Amino acid sequence: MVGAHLQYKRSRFSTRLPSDRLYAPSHAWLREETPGLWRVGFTKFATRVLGEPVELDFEVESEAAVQPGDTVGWVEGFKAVTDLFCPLPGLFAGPNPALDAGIAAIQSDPYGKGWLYAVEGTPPDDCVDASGYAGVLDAAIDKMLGNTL
Amino acid sequence: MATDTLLHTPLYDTHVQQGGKIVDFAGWEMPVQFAGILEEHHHTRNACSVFDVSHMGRLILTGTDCESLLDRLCTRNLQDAEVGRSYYGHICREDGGVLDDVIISRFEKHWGIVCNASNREKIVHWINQHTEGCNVKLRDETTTTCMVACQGPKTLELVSEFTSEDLTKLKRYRFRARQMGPFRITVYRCGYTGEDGVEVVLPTSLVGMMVPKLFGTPKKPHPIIKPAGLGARDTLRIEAAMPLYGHELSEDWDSLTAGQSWCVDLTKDFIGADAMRKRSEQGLPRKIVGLELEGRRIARQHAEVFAGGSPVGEVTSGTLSPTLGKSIAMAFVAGAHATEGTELEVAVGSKRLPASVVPLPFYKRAK
Repeated sequence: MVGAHLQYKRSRFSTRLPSDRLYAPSHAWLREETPGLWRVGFTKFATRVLGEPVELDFEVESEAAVQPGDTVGWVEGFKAVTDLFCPLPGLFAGPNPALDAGIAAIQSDPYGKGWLYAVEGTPPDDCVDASGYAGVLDAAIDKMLGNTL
Repeated sequence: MATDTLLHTPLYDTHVQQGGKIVDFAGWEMPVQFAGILEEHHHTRNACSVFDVSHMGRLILTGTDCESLLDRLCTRNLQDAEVGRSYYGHICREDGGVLDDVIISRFEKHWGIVCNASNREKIVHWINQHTEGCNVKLRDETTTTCMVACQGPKTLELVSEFTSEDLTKLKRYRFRARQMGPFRITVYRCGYTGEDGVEVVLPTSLVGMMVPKLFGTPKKPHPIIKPAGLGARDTLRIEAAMPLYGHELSEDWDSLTAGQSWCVDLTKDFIGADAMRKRSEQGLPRKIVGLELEGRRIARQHAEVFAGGSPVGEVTSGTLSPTLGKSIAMAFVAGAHATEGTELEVAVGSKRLPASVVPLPFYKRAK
């Protein structure tokens, strides 16, 4: 990943958070491709928790109305299945067509070729920038480490 | 669980330094993966991977009554067990329920038991309950020793280099113990991946010497030997159809009903034998089968298995087989549905996916 980013490190987890996008509390990122059209993908933290993906499917049709928190599909890893929760309200604009040929990019290039789907809409206020998401990660990692003060 | 209550193996710092993703496993902080489950799986099938299995229980039994005690506790016949040989078997309750699956090894002057990490306390307690009036002493060496499993077709050649012994001469399920002053190093030719390989037990004090030999240094890692985690260990053992305690084996079922009659000797007496003889006379209610599912979704433990719309069994373990590229599972099903080629369905998510009964194991290495 080249370009402006925020370097993040805590405990044994480190990542670069690209500055050109927003981040949802469900560990998804959103980047505006054309005005109003947002690509959605997993953050590296999400892929680290999920592990290697083995299968993925979407349960909503293109043009379907979606709300934040709606399940738009699922992704299966070796250890568990995770629902894909939509982070913004709008119209589902379809999955990443490149994933039909293979889904390894979800993990190997989560901020680039491994994007998951697109939504036409407006991100809600709980979607934050890279520095805001660093705070979300701090809280999530603290919780995993048992440091809930 | 807070991290400070979890146990660490002598290789924990090495795992962290190698980039291992650490998880809580049976009270231990263990690496679930390093380069990734798929890569580690393929590397084990093609070259040589090292798995830290130090979390597993290592018990030493000494005394003149070890043979008779262990023979009474274990489903395998251990009377006249050979020195230098290991025996896989189960330790069961009176009703046949499996307390653990273990490997029992006969040394010249003592016996060794390797048990599951999650069952160690239970097995120590069980053995101690049965030693009254016996000349048997139990010592738990789990935290004073390290155990690594080196697995894959290149293992024997590579490991022979630094043990300066030709390990190809060691037969399967045999071991060699070498005493170096106060230290004992034991090399077992066995494993849990379906590949050829060895498991090595050595004192914790020698781990510092072993690590660079096995893995090289952080700047110059070994070109072939690579670390692998519990994730790949699970996909490898499922392909090889090896049972895992808590999945194919549990206290709820006896060894025969768990489909492991090969390691049960009903001609001798052991705790659980009467219950299993009765079970054998009545006929087993179910069989363990291999399933191949359509598509790439994974059938998880407890997923229901159906035949013509009626439930006939449940999945014990499933994965997407990295070697075959197919969704595979082991399941217990009623005997009438266990024939190879039988078409069944498995509940995965909200769907029922077609599955057919295939022979076990899913993967067998070329000899």
